Amino acid sequence: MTNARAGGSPATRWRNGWMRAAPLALYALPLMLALVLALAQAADADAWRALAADPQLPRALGLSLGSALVSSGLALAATLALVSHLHGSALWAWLSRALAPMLALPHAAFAIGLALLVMPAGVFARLLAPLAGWTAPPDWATVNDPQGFGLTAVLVGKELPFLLWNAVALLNRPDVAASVRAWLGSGATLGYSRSAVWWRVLWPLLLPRLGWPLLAVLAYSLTVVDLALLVGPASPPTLAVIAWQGLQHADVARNAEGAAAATLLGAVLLAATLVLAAAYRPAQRAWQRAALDGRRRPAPRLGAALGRALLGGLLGLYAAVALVLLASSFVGVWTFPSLLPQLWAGEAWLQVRGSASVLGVSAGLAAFAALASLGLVLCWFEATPATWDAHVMPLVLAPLVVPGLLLMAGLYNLALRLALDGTLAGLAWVHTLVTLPYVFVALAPAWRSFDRRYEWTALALGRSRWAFWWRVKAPLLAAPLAAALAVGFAVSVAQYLPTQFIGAGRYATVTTEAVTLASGGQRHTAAAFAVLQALLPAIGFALAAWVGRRQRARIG
Amino acid sequence: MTHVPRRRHLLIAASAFALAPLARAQGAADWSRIEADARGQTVYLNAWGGSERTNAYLQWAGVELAQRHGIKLEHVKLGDTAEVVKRVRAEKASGRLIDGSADLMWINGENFLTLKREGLLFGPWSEKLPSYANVDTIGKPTTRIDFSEPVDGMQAPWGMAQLTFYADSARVPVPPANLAELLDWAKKNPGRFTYPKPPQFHGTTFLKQVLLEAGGDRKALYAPYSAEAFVRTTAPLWTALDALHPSLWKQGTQFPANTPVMRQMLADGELAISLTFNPNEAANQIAAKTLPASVVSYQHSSGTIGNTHFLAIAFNARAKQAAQVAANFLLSPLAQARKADIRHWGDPTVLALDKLNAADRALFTGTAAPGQVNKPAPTLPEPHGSWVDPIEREWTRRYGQG
Amino acid sequence: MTLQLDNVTIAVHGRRLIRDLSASIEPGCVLAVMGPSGSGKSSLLAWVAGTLEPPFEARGALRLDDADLSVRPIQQRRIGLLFQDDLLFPHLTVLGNLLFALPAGDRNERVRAAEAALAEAGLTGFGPRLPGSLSGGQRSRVSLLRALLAAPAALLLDEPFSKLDTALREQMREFTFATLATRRVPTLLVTHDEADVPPRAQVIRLTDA
Repeated sequence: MTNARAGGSPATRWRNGWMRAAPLALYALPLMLALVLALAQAADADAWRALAADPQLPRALGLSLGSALVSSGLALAATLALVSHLHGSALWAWLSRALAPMLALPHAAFAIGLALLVMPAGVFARLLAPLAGWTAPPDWATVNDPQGFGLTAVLVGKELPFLLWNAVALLNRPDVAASVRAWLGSGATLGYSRSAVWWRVLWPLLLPRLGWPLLAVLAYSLTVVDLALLVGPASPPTLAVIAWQGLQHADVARNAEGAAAATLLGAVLLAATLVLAAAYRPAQRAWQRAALDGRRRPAPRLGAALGRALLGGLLGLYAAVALVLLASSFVGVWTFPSLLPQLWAGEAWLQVRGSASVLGVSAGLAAFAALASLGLVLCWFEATPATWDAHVMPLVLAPLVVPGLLLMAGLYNLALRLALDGTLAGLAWVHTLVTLPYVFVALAPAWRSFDRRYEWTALALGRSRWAFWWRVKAPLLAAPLAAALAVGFAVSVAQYLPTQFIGAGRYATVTTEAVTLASGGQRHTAAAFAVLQALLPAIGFALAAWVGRRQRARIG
Repeated sequence: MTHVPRRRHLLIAASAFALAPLARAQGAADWSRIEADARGQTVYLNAWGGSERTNAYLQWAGVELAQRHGIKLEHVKLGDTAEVVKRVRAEKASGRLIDGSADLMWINGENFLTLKREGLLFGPWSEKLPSYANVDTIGKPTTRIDFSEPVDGMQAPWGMAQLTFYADSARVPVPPANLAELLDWAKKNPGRFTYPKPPQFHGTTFLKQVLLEAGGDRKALYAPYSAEAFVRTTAPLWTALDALHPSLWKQGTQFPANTPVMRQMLADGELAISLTFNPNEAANQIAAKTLPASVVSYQHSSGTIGNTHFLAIAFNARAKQAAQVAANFLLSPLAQARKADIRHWGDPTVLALDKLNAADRALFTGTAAPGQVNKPAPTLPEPHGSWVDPIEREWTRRYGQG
Repeated sequence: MTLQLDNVTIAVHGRRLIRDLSASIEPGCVLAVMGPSGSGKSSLLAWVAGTLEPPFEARGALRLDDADLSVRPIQQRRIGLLFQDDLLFPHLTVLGNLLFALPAGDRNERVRAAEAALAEAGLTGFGPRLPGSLSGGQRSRVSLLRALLAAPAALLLDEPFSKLDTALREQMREFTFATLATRRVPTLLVTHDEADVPPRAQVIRLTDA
């Protein structure tokens, strides 16, 4: 019984139509096609037989699964502990700002820097050398160790700030913050310490809301390739690296094997998720039984101190990594056990200067990916009601939870068919695809919660939709827009697999150069590229912060 | 063998003689046309990108080619030559016969064998290059036979390689001069030597060196692979390795991925002896301030494996003319001299210096640099390429499971 | 211009909120729609403005003089909208907000018109100030001025005084209705406060359906 609703004019419907179609056609459709193509490539019985016959398979799978589960578990435990002990303290407000630079340091740069610290000829060993009387580097198995501890450590170092940031974002939401305050208050009146309330009441309730970030963390650590190449075990490597090698191999049969291995990883991820989800209920019940035992233990005195120490340690580690990267990039010869290099050299930076095109490609791709993602995301936001977001969330988050290898193999296949492989256009498009989820998630809260009445007011004043959008909405949301762009920019700079696959070796970015150089032993040149890799997103975030400050000053 | 009528024989000889200048002139005209066609083309040179010296050299070559011939040289950095082999093969399989992604490829050995056998190469072309006239085909026979396979003009020689060891003289005052001394030294200094993990080609080359030094049957190795002879022929290799591995870095349970990693480990002090295929590598790195000046290079006195590395053109290359012009430039005295210069790359030349005129020869005056090989050893030719894969697979089966 | 509503029915999830309502607002007159919350008065307003969206459904005729407005989008109806919150664009100055509302034309003339409106409201010199620096009452006045500078053919007020404190409310009521009467703009007022209704206004009371 609707009449011709105002605003439902054919022109508007047509505009809404293509604004909805754009992200679907350019993002969702290619992703689904890629997945189908990748699975089709893996649907080769011979490939699976060859994979099963590979003597490396059990250990490689064990390494992948082990490093993923252990690192995710440790990162989660540390996150819960930190939040429980730091929430409400003076550090809390400062925490999200402290996390930003840690998140901005790309994974590869962090891995290269950490390796420089803990490897047998690294800074820590040199510090210990006079005490232990070493004249040659000790036989430590720190990075590239066969058990994958080095890889696990790097993963924890990178996943912890990410999970922590998600937890902080969750707890800063007004509705959640209010509830938490209320529960903490009532828990206190019932005689429980703050951290007790967290562990007994709050975490069981809040943990499911960290589900997506946890899944993303698990998916990443299970299928990461560049970190495994840098600090992971060498023989056998993780399953992700074996899949990667297969997919890059000259032999077509080995390609199919690689695709099969990538699919296996996807299946393992799915299985692990289902098992964990199934185990959650009984675990929650057991937890509740323990939580309801009525015992009121005094707050661990060291609890807060431990939280502070953990946080301090994390920050210190990141600072050390950044410093050692910067210093290493200027090193020529640095023989053990000398604490300072014997020969400083600017050679690494000269090489960087000679690779100006690499910097240009990285920055150009990242700028394009950020802007294009933003465009698609805005098309979606402006043409659909907010309720539709929940329905498309799985599609939006797909690149984060589907194994990157599988997706990239499929996208490469798709690019080949469209003759886009090895072209800058194809590369830019794939970067956009992987950047979009982050831009979406970064922008959605601010964009969707924008007061609609501003729009109605402006339109009622007789101005066009475009005038409203350009002169009111966008300027008012400048800070979230800048932040989303900065996030997209950072994500694109840090990408490794897409450039390797779709670029078909034609294009190098600062990330691929850093990884190639580091795994090729050219540590100091790699450090220079890693510094560059970290600098680019940092500039983006600094700009976004400046925009944010300006907005706050003007509008308050 | 019948006796050809002398008159006809003389006539043929006479006409050939008369036509020779014409043929040369025709060749020159063909070459000018190739150079003209090449102008404005872009050549994608697919070459291993793991060495900054090589990369810097190719950057220089690109500038020169642009200035002299109007050609754009793009260096596609590979982690492994197998990547380009895969790509070209895939392109042929999918019917991409004219618009290939690779033009020039830096290859040798088993890759050349594969490419030649599968018809993935353009050619013959290399012997028609003007610069080819200066190549030392007599003194450097590996420029015409690659891993016991005739080149037949399907690839152009680019540089010489010979397995060379280098050591920090501060830790190794007397470097071992042969395999037995190396084994001895390793036992006394455990964990200070290793080799890259096969099938990485330096690692494989070390295996071949050990096999030749340990008494592998050379007659069998220089002939194509024979499955029956495999066990007998390679037995000395496995015996030697079994003796060596416990004294290696990480007790032979882990191997570095490639030689640059090993070089870094030597610079850090984790290794005392490393190896390379470029006899001037250590000297290069000392000049580039990435190795301490106390490093010396040496070769095993009875000889070490050496070969020539080449440039080949893919069958479906987009810029065949420009590729040939580029290869011709890279073979020129100017380019070869700069390549052989320790200050730039230090890769030995394939040219015969006595075939050059005085001016060109003067380009090659190298000053002795610290870290160069003092007592060059003879070059041992490479075994037949078909032995490489079986040896690598057996090594992986025995030692590569980790 | 006379604003006319004919046989308006509004329903949500199948439940009818407003049934066959008809009304006519003459120039300079005020129609007050009153009722408890949930009675549909805001939906009625939204329908007249053109901002009504699913799950609400509506039927009926809306005419301005003789023009059928129901097929036009919001920006073409020339119906002004004022809410409880002033909704001044916080990043634009007072002058900027007013200029946003003025139709296109010579810039100097538009600035003069805006300044004149400010003067009428006793806000001379407030042009360069940002809305954040104004008091609640000042903001409400600017908001009304902004709505009026767009030369609307009708005006909708959605509980416009409920966020102001009592003293201010009286002032704003006087100012608002005086200005509207002068400009001869038909006005639809939605409120739950009897005191908001000006004398001589039509009143429609909605009850829970």
